[in-house]
Amino acid sequence: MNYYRISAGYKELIEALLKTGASIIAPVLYNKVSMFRKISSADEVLMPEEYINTVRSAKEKFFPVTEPLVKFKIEGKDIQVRDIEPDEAQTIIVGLRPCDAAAFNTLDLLFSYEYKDKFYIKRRENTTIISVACSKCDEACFCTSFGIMPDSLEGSDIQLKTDQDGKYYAETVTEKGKELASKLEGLKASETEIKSASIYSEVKKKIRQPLETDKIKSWLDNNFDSNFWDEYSARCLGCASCAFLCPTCHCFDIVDEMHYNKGFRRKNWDACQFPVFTKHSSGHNPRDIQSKRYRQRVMHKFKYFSERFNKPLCTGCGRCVRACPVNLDIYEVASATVKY
Amino acid sequence: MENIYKPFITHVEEVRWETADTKTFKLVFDDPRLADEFTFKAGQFAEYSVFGEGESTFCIASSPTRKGYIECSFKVVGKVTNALKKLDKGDKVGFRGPYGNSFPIEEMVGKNLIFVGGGIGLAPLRSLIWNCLDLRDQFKDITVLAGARSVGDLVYKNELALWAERSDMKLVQTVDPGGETADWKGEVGFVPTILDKMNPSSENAIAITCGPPIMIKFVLQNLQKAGFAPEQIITTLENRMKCGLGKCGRCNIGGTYVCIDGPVFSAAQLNELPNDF
Repeated sequence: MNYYRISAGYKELIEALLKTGASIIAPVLYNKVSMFRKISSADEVLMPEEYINTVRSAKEKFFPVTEPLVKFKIEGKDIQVRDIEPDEAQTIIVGLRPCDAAAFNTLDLLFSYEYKDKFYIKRRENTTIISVACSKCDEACFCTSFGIMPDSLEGSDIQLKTDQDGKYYAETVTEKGKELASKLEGLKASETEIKSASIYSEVKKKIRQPLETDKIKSWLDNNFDSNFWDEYSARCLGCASCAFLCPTCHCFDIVDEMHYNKGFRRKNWDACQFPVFTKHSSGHNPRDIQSKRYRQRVMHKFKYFSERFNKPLCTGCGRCVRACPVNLDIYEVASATVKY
Repeated sequence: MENIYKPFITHVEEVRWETADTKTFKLVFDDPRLADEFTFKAGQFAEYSVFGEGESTFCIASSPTRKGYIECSFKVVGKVTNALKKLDKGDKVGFRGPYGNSFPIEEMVGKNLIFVGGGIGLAPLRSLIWNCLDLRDQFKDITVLAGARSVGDLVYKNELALWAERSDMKLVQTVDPGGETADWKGEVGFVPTILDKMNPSSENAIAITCGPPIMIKFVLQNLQKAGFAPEQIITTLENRMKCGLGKCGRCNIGGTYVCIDGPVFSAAQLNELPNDF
């Protein structure tokens, strides 16, 4: 069976996870910001009731803000280049929302497309994902636009849900999840299906009406040169908060870093909202003004990525909406396209 | 699993100044087995690096028919190219590649070929020109139109001299008005204007062009005026790149990634792309 009763509460479950010896990543408050960090005690962990979603997504556990790709040492004319192996530690990420779990499946497509990025892929292989279904949403959420629900299982190995008595239970989704659940202290397999509380269907009703993504895509197909982009991006500051908090944004830069004769070549997060992102060394810039950069963001999310991977580059987590300093809401912009 | 970001190590075998600000390196892989096994196709590009400074994207400017080494030409403009400039014989250069698609040389067999290059845009064409010259009997007439802003800005001068002497090809050289010197024997005029004057026949022909965006724009127009169908015109694009692997997200024109879907496109394919160059 795929259902497990949890004898005690959420914190005891975290303790049980810590006892497995795996590295446990969970939402904590760090410098007043909710984000995923490695924990050593259940007391550090934010309870799922304390957050609708974390400020920073868990993508940085597979695709860090900055990471070394190779290291090198220069001695006279000689250069030694050494490969770097990603950390192989078994990891469990717990406490993330279904929209974030689904985002990993989207990123998998990119990092394993044609050329395989071992740094992302190895960490992904060594990680088990335990999501927590959403018993609340806010006005920024729009996951249902992409077929994701408050209790969607996509991308999760295990999902924690509340049953009709208000107690947490675990639903296993993958073999990896089953294996972990079967050896976890305090988890007892249930002979029968456990029914979840009705809160999830109630939450679903409160989430913003699903976007008509097919219609939006066909509008985008025909309106690359529309005045819409100038109009709707006029207030965009190009700060890229949206891209840095997004669980699916994956643009990066490659830069060298030297300390005396030793150095690293690093992969650092970058964002399409920055002017230098596409600037040629000649000075020519194909996306020289903010409206072109904002258009790139919307097009990539709703058109370009879907054309290649058959999946939009958005899971409706709402982070970009909550963080935007000028209240530019991608849900509103996408809805406005088809009415323009 | 292989590290797709790890460069091979090459060393500079030869250095040549092409112009006051453009240099060509002949690079040889340090690993002799790799030097033997390495293959690429004309039109492909690579990431070249100076350790501690970073990576830069250029085409492979030598011909795949010339084995055991690769050549690249670069203009000194930014951080990496300024660091490359300082390298000399024996110095190390990182190399990742070859990446991207290539010129459709199989489709060019048995055809008349017209190459139109402007400035450093001659570099990717040079790879293909030597490739075709090394297999000369497979192609019909070969014409090269090479232009630059001034006589001093013409790249590959030694090779232009070799091509000018060959009887199995035709070379036309031009410089922009005002860029000529007293002893200049070539044409004076912008590349598209000279192309117009040459009025090449589109019959059984393929035109291949590369140069600054403004030159490409008018060359495409003039070729179509001369009767070339968009499918008969091939060009190679460049955009700022970092990974070269279709991941870092900056070289796309619409949904098309120059790094993995290009850099070589036909004019017919370009017509399908949004105005995002």
